[in-house]
Amino acid sequence: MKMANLNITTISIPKPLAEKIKKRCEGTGFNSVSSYVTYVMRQVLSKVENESQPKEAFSEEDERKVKERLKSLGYLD
Amino acid sequence: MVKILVYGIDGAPPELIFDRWLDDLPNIKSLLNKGAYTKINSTIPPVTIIAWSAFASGKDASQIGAFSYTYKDHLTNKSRLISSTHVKTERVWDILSKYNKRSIILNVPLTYPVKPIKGIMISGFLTPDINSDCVYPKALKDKIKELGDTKFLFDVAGVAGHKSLDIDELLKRTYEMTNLQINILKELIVNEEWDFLMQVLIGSDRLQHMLWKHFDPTHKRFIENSKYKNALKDYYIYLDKRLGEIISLLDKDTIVIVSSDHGMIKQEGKININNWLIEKGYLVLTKEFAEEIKHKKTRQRFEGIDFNKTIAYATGAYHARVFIDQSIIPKEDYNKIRNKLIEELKQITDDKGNKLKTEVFKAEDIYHNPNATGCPDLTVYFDELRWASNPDFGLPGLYSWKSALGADSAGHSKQGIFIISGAGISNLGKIKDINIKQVTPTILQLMGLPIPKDIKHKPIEVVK
Repeated sequence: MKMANLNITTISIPKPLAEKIKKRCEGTGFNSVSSYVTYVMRQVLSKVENESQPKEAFSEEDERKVKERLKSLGYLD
Repeated sequence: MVKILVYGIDGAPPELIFDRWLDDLPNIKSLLNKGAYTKINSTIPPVTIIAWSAFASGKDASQIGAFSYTYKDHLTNKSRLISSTHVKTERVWDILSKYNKRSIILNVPLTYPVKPIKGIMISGFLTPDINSDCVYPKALKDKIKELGDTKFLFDVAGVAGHKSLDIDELLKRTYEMTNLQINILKELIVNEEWDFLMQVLIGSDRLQHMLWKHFDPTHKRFIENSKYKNALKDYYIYLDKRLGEIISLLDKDTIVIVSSDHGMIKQEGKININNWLIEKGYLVLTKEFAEEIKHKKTRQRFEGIDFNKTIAYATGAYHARVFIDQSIIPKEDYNKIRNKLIEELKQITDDKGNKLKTEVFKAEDIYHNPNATGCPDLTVYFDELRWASNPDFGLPGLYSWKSALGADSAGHSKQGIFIISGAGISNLGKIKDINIKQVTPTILQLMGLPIPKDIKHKPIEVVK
């Protein structure tokens, strides 16, 4: 089932690569090469965008801040 | 095309919503009368951050990779905050992204820092502030700032030092937080395309912990004629009114789920679990820490434990998570020690010497991967959670009313609420209790998508 969607565009990739991706998709949750490529590109771009940020989810300062906040609530679990 | 909206009310208990206040909540009542409703069994233990993650993944904590909002860093023995980077499993929006379905995920716990999805994500209550990595895509941040002051967008406390908030301030901030959260939701409903939309409102949990003794005459510390006696009910009436506004914006076929992650139960008192473990000889503190807590109440912290001499220690609140250090006991003694500990825990009485209905769960009873890092050996519900477990130090004896951080008057209980209504949903009224891990397969089934093989729970039978 293909639906018209104005927010989608076509991008060219080499056929052998598309074939490889198609094989990779078999038996996974991805129902098309496009959805797989979209998923991977979203991950890669986000990683690149975040490269300037520290690897730890919380900086020391942020961790202190959130723990203090939880403390002030008497929050336990 | 199926659209699903989840209106998450943190900690909403069936006793208040279904039994006591339903007539004052017309929008919830209307959903309940048109669709199906039930009690939802939370995770064991019923911890907010885990329960919502189980709701959104169909998995348990050992599969998710998180057991609470903090974890013990094994390299440093320090307590660290959990984040989305620890999550090892797909959540429903990750699965929907694969199938090109667009999700809007708002304030769901354990989503900070946000990760890319097909759609929009604003992270939950552990988010430091609006300047952190809390909105995907980032470009949406300016729009959010336009909608209001984001100071309390993620939780009701700023950096307020060590003392608890007074009730007036707590109420003011809770309404400010919820108002902005719902305004953002309404804005996105109207202006964005979506297939799945989920928001968790944490305000109800924050109020219930503190307000229970103000409205429940059976509470041990009931405050008669409190000026806050209607404050919690009024907040639920407000949530119901806002739900009505949201529903009026939806396409008529949208499926609406109203759910909580756990319930709430009035608290009889606290059992100082680590004091008990010390007294029984299982837990040994470092000399410095033992000296420190003689003079002040101190939060449970791993740095104070002498791990060369400690057999068992506990964390968790309301429930207890007990860890047995297998590195200092002979391997063949593990089961013997664990069984002894279970028996002794069950012998703990209340402060008057009355027997408690205490439940103790072994890791293999409740977790898919009982050997996962961070998995507690035992999980304890004192008196079916009516007595809270308190892991803090510096409080004398076995029983207390306060933790090191102050007093609350209710704790998390085992069952929350679940209501589902909309196109294709049978009008079944009250159905039998469900498990929180059934929600994700239900959502996938309603959207016509396959359920991943590693989700073992079956969808709820509500489809026409």
